[in-house]
Amino acid sequence: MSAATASIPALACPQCGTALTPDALSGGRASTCPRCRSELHGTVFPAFWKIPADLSGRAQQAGEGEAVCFFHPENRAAVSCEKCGRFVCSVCECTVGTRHLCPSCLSSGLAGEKLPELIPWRFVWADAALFTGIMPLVLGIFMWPFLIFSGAAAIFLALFGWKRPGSLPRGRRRWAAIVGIIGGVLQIAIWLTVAIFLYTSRT
Amino acid sequence: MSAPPLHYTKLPGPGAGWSGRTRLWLAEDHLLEVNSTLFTERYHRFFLHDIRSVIAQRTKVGFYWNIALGILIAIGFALAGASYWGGTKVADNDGRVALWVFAGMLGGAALILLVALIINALLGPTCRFYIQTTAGMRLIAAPTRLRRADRLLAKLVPHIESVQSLPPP
Repeated sequence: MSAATASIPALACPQCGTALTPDALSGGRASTCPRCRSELHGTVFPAFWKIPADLSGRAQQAGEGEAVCFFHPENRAAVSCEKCGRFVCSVCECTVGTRHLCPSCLSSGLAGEKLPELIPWRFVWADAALFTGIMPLVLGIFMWPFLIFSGAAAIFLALFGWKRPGSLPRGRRRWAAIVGIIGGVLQIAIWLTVAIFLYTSRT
Repeated sequence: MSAPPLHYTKLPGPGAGWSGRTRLWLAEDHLLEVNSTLFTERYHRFFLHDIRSVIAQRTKVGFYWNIALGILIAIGFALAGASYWGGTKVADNDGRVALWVFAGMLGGAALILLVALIINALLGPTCRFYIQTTAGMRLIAAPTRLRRADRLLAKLVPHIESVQSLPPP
């Protein structure tokens, strides 16, 4: 068995772990696991056959007059960073999707959420405003004493998050923030109306 | 050095579980798994160049739900029928009304479960969806129905194949 054959990744049944032949999933047709009889639908892509690159010691020594890495002056430059333009060797090259970055641009992109490909999570302010603005109205009169707080919170959340980045795939969702503000104003209006009614009926 | 915003296309087959709602979105060069709780979204990316295989495995969860719902519906209707029949035998007016109200409540609950059973049957068989990359195989919480998974595969597979036919970045 050659080294290349040995490093071909395994395709296993997700249910029982039995090794499957990649041909079983080709063409998008349904197949069955020979052991657990699970019905499997799917496809194997060309990347399945790609041998992972050996990353150890792949940077090459720079020759006379060759461009060198910004971080390792003894290494030949492999690519230039797409953000800052620095030359980097293949050891320093950071690939993010289709972009080639240097380590410092990658770390600054991670810190400041400047690269959308690196954002791990987001708080969606507009969704919070929508929920706080609408839910107390749905719950009805039982929420009355708290409407002043939840209404103010809905307006605050909508305005505070107005210019902040929203959901990564869905965008800022301004309509949700606007509905949240309307709900918040309604809640405060209801609270004031009931408070004035109670006060006048007592006096 | 802020990058332009990415354009995402919604893919068929949302999923919901204890950890929140999950949906897959397709960008030009990657697949985004979005796991949403009430107000937060967590992202997991699969770059199309790295995806080795996608597998939808049919499960029997939906079938077991149908059996459980069927048993509960049968028990509900049987108890409702028994309560109604028992009410007709009771001479006391208040007791009869109480038994009929009880029968109505049980019948209503069984009817709601029947609607759930019909919806579950119409949605078709359930599945687990996996994406295999160089990092390993990851279970995705969406889609949870095999029919939707097939629709997702029909949309996703040509896109991944076209990206992987290009030279790597």
